[in-house]
Amino acid sequence: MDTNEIELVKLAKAGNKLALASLILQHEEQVVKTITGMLGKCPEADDISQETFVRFYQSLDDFKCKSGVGTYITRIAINLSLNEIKKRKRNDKFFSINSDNNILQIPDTNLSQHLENDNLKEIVNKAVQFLEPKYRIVIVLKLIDGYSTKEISEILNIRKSSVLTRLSRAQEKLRNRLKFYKEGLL
Amino acid sequence: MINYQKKKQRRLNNYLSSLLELQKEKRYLLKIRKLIIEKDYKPDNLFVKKVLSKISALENEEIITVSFNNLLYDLFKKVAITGGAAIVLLMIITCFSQGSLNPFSFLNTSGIFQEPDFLSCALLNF
Repeated sequence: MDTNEIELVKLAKAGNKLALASLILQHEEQVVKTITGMLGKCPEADDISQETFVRFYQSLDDFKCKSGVGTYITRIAINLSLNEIKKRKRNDKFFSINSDNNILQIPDTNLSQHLENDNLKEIVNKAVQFLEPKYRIVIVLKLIDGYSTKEISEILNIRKSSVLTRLSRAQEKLRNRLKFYKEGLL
Repeated sequence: MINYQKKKQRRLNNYLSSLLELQKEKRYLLKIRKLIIEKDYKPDNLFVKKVLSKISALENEEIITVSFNNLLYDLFKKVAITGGAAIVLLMIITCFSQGSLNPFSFLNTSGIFQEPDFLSCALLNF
């Protein structure tokens, strides 16, 4: 954690709103990436991204600067996303993905060959949304956020070997789910 | 250790180059990765402003809650002190006027219960 960030945290703890704004600016993209990766593009994703920083502000006194601010905020973002996923499961209500479910299930190889890059992106990201949360987390942290295996193991508090196993299984699941689009992807 | 890893990597690369199917599989996985990474994840322009206003609202709410609790506590203190003073005053007056602090003295009913006529009437009716 660099000294500039430590200073900003100290100032934010003291109630300096500018320092807090600066910290938010530094990490907003990362948080939005993580939450959108976990939940998909939906109105809740915006709310949860904002809520992540509110929680960060509320827990500033507990933050001991042992890990980086980014890691700490990502942990909050992941926890809030998991809560939202649980809430959705409880309500038995799947987000917009449900209505577009067939996009991933129609085995139309001719169609898949002519898909544009944007459509493919959409399909691949929807496939990510279908992964179980424990696999989705590692895909989001590794591919979208660009964290290293060591950092992911710290964020999720699991062993590095478990991160690698989950990553490999997640890829396997993605590969199977996207098998109908293989021609379009190659 | 490094040499071993290099050798291993070289062996894997050789193996990969000799198998078209594996190459295809690698390209496929890389493309999936690329598509995931490429997606736009841009935050809202007013993101920071929204978060700060949420925090301010939360702080105001906290201030209101704290001041309401203080108000309630002050009100309770005033009522409790006044009530306590009234009770003490009542006890002193009763003590001086009735000569005791017996519960009947407070209700001013000690005379009725002690009268034999009242008791006998009550027993007869029972």
